[in-house]
Amino acid sequence: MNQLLLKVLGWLGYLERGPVLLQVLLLLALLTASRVLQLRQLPRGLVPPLQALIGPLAALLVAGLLGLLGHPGGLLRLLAQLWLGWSLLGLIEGPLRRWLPAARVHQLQSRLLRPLYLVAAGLTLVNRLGNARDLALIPLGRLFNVTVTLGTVTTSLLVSYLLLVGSGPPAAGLAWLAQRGLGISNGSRKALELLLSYSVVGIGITALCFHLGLSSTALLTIAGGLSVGLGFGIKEVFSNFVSGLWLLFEGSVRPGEVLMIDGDPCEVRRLGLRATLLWRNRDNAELLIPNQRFFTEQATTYTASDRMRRSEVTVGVAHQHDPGLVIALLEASARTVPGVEAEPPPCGLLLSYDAFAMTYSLRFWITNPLQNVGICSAVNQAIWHTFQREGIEIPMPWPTDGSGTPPAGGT
Amino acid sequence: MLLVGLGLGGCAGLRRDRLPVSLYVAVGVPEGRVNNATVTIFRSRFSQLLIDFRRLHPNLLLQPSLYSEAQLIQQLRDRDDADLGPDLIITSGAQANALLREGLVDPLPLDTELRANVAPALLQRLRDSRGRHAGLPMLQFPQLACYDRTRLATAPASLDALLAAAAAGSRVGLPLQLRNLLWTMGALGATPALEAASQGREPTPAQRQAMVAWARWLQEANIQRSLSFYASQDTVVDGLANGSLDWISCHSIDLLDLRRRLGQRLGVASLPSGPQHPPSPANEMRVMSLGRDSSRAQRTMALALAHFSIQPLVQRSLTLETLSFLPVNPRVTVPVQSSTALAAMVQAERQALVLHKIRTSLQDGSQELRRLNEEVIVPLVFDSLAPEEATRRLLTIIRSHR
Repeated sequence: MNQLLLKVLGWLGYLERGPVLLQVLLLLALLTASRVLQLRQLPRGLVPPLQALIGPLAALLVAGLLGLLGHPGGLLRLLAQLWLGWSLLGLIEGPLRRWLPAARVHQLQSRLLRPLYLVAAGLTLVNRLGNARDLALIPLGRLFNVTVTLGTVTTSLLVSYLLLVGSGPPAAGLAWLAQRGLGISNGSRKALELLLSYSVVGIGITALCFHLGLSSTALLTIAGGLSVGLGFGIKEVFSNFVSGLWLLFEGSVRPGEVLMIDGDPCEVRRLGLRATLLWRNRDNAELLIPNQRFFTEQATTYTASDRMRRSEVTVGVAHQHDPGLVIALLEASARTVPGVEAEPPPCGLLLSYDAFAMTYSLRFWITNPLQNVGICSAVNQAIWHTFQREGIEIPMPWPTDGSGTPPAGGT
Repeated sequence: MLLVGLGLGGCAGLRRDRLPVSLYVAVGVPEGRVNNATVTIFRSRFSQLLIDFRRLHPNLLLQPSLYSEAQLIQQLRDRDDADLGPDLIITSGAQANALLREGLVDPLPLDTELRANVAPALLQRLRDSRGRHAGLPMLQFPQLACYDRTRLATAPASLDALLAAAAAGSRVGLPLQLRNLLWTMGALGATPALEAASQGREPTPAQRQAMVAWARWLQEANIQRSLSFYASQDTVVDGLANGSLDWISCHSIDLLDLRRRLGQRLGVASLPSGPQHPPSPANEMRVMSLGRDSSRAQRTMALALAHFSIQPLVQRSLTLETLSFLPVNPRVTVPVQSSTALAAMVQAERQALVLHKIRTSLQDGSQELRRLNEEVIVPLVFDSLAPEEATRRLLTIIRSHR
């Protein structure tokens, strides 16, 4: 570690060179000026991504001027190019949004493109200050009798990060191909995507351990240590992870499924390592529920074997109306509502004779369980309109003052 | 005010020549040698030099970086573009010449002291057509024979003895590169043809015939069951170290690694002679060249280190401590009686004089050498090119690159 510190601090020695010091100072001045301009949103009329280009372009211009005046300007040019590249990353966000959803673009930028650019820019700079390959040989310590160098640690971290972040798109591509080839459902495709992604990460991390030089004995020792850790500290995390994998294999909880959570239908959005993300239609809330809950508790799903849900509305009708006519009108009303399936057909039932009305039930099938409340509302409205048109009374119990007379304004 | 006054007083107390000076050093090493072992070897060798130098210049902060020779030119070009080039470049003589040609190093300002402390023949190898010197020779690494003493009691002294040893079952390894096979050319009397071609002259029939004989020897050597050609020098060194080879041609730069891996089993000798001629080993040297981006203080320090490294006492102690290279200072007498390796190196130094007139045209990593290896040596050894045709091609390529 001392070697690394000495090496990095040693780079400050370049400031002994007058031209290098001048270029660093110029860059700092340009960075400050650019920041001030951006904060004041100047020049007006330019969108922020374009405003961000002014600083690096000015730095490139100054570097060119230095060259014309016969002064070294290479360092400033290099740093300005790196700065420009960083600013251009902001510019490609707009075109990317034409092809991808905004959330995916943001994820791509913040998790993949910008970190990769920083690594590449850092390596470029290190290679100008010294030699990255030489720097990579600096030993940091020993692990299971293997000398761990800066290079192996950096490579391992980088590859692990790329595996975690970058395995998603290829896995999605393969799952899509499998869906096209085998005709599997959307839920199965998403499950397959997750399984592929986990497999790539698992194999990659094991390969990395071997790349580091860890023997199978060392890996077994690590596994032993982990098992103790699993028994105490991270039991719940591991339990949730295994539950998630099991649910995927079982196919009971997959992205796209609709589950009843506390009486509300929710759609499974993502099955994560620890928890499942669900979306509740009622209030647009996202629920993070530990995987273990689905593994150990009863759950109601409308999408296990198909996406059909049988829905029901009840209505009270005055005693004088013919039940056969009422049932026919109820079924006809349901058929007019979009979202109500024609097959199996809507079914009206007379449930009971109550004090003020005869209670009927109308049962019908819908294909999107998440739209149940909206379709029920539409069916109720259609019934009201039909009953109004056909003169069918929906009796209501009225509060009285004790003489049997309804209050003023009642009909 | 008191603090500012004390601070200014403290700064004024620092002498200008005692301010820390960072010296950035780029070290070129053969391809595939940028590894922990090379870093350790380099640090141990350089630290011996620096311990004494720091007594004179305690304000030196050294920042070395190792580069593969194949990438050195591009890396230096990139660093120079950013005004962050090294102050000193330590590399082979051939590469130092290439760096000067590319404008990546400043010519060495030679003074009388430097001239007196370096063998003129070595300086001549670093001189270009405009009389500029690409750098200052630091050390010489002669080409030698390395063998396993448990498998061969004595090293073969002649090419016939080498082939006889191979026929008797000793495993001989040679790198399949013209530069590393040049010693066989001298042993078979083929260097006059090479010299003539490198000077643009047509070799005499006798000289050409000697080169055909050399080409035929290479082809016939490959027929020997126990004599094999390998892709690189590193491969044959590894072969000797891990016991799969018994005799190889090596450079003294390999000795430290081989001693560490073979211990007392390592034998070192001169390369075998031919029927009438001594071998012509292609000795290497390490050269210090001056970078282009140094501040005045850094340039002064770099020159001071260069002057210091070729002082007779420094050269002698470095030679005797490592027994892996020869001094470049002609005023240093090498005690050949004390070590067979040193004796072999001194002999190789003498034998290499024959190549001095043609060395600069066969630089390591040059396009010419690459063509010679690909178009002549490889097809010749694998019997897809007749010795006569190989000779014609070789001489043509050398003349075309003159």
